[in-house]
Amino acid sequence: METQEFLAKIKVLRNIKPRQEWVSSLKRELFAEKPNSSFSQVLEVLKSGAEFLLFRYRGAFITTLTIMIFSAVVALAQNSLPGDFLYPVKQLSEKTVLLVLPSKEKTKAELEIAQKRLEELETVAKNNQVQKLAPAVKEYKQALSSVARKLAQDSTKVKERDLARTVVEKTEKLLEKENEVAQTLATEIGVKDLANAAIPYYESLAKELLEDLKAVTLNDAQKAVLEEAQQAIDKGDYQTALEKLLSVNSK
Amino acid sequence: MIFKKNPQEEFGKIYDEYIEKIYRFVFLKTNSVETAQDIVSETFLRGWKAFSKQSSNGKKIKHFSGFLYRIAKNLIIDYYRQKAKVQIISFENVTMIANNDKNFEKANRDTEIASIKKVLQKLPDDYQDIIIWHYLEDLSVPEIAQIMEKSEEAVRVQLSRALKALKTELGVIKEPDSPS
Repeated sequence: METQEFLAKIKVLRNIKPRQEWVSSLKRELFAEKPNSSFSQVLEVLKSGAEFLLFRYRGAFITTLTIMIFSAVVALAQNSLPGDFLYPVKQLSEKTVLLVLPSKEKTKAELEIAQKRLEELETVAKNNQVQKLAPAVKEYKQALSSVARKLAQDSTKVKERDLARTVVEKTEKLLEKENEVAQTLATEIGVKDLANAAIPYYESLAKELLEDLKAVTLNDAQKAVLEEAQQAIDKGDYQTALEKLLSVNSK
Repeated sequence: MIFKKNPQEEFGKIYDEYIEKIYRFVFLKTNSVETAQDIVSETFLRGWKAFSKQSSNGKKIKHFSGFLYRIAKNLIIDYYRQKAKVQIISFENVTMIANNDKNFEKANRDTEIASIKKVLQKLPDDYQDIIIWHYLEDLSVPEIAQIMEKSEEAVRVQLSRALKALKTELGVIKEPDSPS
């Protein structure tokens, strides 16, 4: 065969063709999945890495995630008000803190909680959140009852100077705040409730302070105030008695 | 340009134009339908990836057909490196080529294809390529230069040497008698 003849005949090789079905199916397969862009490749790498880490350390991951979610919920609950969905979580976290505190600190902590309840009540009153008013008053009353119970149980400890000072300071603030809240609630049903709520706490505290002051040496002016406080206690006006007892040191 | 062309549509056109040519080239080099299909699939997959990439980053690959031939050629080289032996062509392989013609014509054509293939395969690899591209696929010297990444002059020289080797193979040029 001549070279030219061969080169002419070589065209017969054009009859070598792929099967048409294969050509079509390859084209379909080719365009079925779009080739990865660099961004999607990075995502793919991150995804596979995350999957590996999740599989390898899933126990630690689940624990960490649970802790993170729980912490987030607790943190979120700190801004809740009585009647809110997350309010029980806030109370639970406070109770947990009370459990781990040394007994000496618990009375102060209970007082701080009562202060918080009063602040919540103030917020509710200021924002005119009528629906939350009843739960807020209820929570404040419960907090005060709890403080009163604590003081009754730890009556000897109230006599300790630093604790007594703290209790007095916090009570003074509480009284001031209560007056402010009472003014805010002037047109609401809360005034009466608020006054009643404080009675057990004021009674317990006033009696403890009275006994405490009787045991120390007082000047005439202080003795006169002490007498007035005693009369107020006898009349059942514990708030007035407490205010007078707290003013003894300034006489 | 107001409207950007759809890369899939563009590559679809390239696919339609080159699928048979690339397949033919690979089949002639591998003598196996399955291997040719595997290599061609991989060639177009890589081609499509590169094409999409160039569409997104704006860096255009010049002479995409040459690019596809180069991918195919490299995959053939990889295939033989792995296989470490060339499959012997059999008549059965050739008859696997799809053809709806009458049996008599098909038999004649198959025989012709087999004889041409037999001659081609006796040539060195590079000479086979250049003859297939130039005389079978009608690629111009500049196009072949793109595929081979050589100068046009170098391609012309290689083409001339390939023809000489072909003539030798066909027995047109008789080897000079050895001096007695």
